[in-house]
Amino acid sequence: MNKILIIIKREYLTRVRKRLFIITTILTPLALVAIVGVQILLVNVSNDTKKILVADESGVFKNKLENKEHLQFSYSDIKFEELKKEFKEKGYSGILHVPADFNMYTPEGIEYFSDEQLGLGPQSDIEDNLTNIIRTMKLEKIDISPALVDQLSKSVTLNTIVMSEKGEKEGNTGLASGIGFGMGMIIYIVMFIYGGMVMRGVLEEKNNRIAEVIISSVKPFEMMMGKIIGIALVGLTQFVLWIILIVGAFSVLGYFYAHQLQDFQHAQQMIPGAQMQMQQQMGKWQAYGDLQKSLSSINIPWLVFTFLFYFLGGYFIYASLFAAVGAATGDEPDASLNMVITMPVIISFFIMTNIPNNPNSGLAVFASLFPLTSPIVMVARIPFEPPWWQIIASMVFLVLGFVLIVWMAAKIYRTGILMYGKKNSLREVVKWLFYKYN
Amino acid sequence: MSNIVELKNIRKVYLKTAAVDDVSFIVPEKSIFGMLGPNGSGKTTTIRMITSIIMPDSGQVLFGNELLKRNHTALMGYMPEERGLYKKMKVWEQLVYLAQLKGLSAKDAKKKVFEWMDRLNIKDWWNKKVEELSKGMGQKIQFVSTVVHEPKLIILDEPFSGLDPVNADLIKNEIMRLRDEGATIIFSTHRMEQVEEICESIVLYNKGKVILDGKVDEVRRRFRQHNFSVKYEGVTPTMSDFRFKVQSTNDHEMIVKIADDAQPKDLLRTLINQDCNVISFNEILPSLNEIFIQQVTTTQ
Repeated sequence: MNKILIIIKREYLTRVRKRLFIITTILTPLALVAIVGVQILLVNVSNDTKKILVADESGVFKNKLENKEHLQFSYSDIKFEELKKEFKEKGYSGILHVPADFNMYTPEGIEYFSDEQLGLGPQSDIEDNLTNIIRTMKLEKIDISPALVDQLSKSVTLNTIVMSEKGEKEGNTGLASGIGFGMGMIIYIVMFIYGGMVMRGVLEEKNNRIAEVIISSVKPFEMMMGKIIGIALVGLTQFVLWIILIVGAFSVLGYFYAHQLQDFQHAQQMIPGAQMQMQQQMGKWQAYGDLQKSLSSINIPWLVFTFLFYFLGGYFIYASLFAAVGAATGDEPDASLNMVITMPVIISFFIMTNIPNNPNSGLAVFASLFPLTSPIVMVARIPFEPPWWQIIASMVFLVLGFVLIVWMAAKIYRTGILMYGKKNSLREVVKWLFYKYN
Repeated sequence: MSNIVELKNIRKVYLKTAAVDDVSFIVPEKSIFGMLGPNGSGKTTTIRMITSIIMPDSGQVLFGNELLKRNHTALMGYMPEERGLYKKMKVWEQLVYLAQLKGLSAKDAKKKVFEWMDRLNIKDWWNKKVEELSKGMGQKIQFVSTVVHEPKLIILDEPFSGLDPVNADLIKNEIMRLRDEGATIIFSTHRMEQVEEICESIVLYNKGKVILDGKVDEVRRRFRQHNFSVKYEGVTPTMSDFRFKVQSTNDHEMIVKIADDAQPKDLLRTLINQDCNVISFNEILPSLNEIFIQQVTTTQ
């Protein structure tokens, strides 16, 4: 067997068989599913309807408060002081007290009495409800109908059309930035998690002094690449397992909650005021349809290709840099050397977050050409369809950068891995680049 | 006898200081060869050039009678002074891995690893992680990893450090056995008594240069002081001859230095003429340790 394959196999197997790897690989998707499951459960639990008794001494709000599926209002003329004593027995959760001298221009003095906390959601619901009623009344006072207000406050939605040789196409900025951000984010995380894993592996070999034994059998370059590829496969395994587990677990979750969701929708229709809710739902569905339309406008195989291209390019560049830093530092990790590598990654992250606002700014274009930042920045720009020349130039630079950086990192690695007990400054490390070996 | 390693004027400079400067020597095949010298004198750098870990700036390294090539390393086994094993890996997996990197197939590697563990009485430890072992145990495992692929050239940097006398003896016997089976051993150390015991020839390093080389006996004779130890019974003999200078006398033993124009037999004759009852007569050659210290301090 080729020696590099033997190294890849060891790097892969020792990590994949670790208990921590198995636990995190299985638990992460399960935790995710559990969180979602608990949320669904909580929605069902908090569905308990709160019945609130309104003691409106001013009469301003009488029969005007809107019922919601979890908030129902009843009105009573009985004295507030007496209600306080008996609301619990009558099955109410609390009393909304409006004082007799309530003035809608200085809306103060409304109180909620209960033996339990109201909760943030219901509280803001009630507040909104009261505010709306007062606003409507004020508008009526100056002869403006609510319909007119609706007309006045209609907001504008902008449809963006991207012009290209193929003709005009409807774009979706939100979706493009979502996809771009998601892909950039994954590459960002991968660089740190698996790049860090490469660095720790190199440090272990250097501090254990096993590096010298291995380098007397294989070339340092084979040793470094074996480690980098082995760890790439570990990452890939983890991703594939996550995807399988998440999809699997959500299908199970979906199966168990399917009937509950139906109940939930059924119940909504029974509750007065649910129509409004339904309308909101309809709006959401329409948005979803739009999303589907714009999804079909995106070239998915192209996205996958560019993602994998930058993913691999970025990983190999940064993993070899991390390997070089590991080899150069040894027992005492050196913050300044670490910074040299992590800075471009963090800078690319910040540039990426700004891309939705301005996908074709000078900085974004530069950063998507420069090989240390392009894996994150270009991937975030791809859904915004940058000009072809930029994509091609960026890919060519990434390949050239990859060759140059791996070559440099291999030189630093080779020198550093055998230097013990010495702290190496950045200047010294740069000198290593000019050492001659073969 | 042919040579397994020949160094011709090799030189290696690190950041303007020469770690190894114009070093040439020959390691004969099927011998035990000692590399001696203080710390930082260039031994490890030389070994790294023999094992292709680094390349000399100038000069040549020959292996067998060929210019050193990368694939020669499969015929070498190197145990560095700084010992290293993967702490979290199981003993047998680790040994099989290192043997595979030397070019053995997985099957052969496994077979030989278990043979060696049996031979060094560490078979019970095969499935333990290295971090669970004592330092001496780790040392034996490291030794196995160095020799398991049956290298023609075995390079051991301080092989006995950290071993108790029983295990040191075990390893020493294995070294002898490997030599008898045809391997060549280069042995780097600053522990002179071990060198005298097992090495046939040596080089002595100081400050990146070889200041002395040759067969052990020959080197010791080269630095002879012409001191003889005489043990006797009865009356202490008198030394009136100016060619014989008594260095010390102590409980029926006398150390005598013979002048250059005299022979040991002249001293013996003088003693017998006095009717001295000599029970032992032998030359005191300087130990390698004395030569080492003398040479290193005078060349400073």
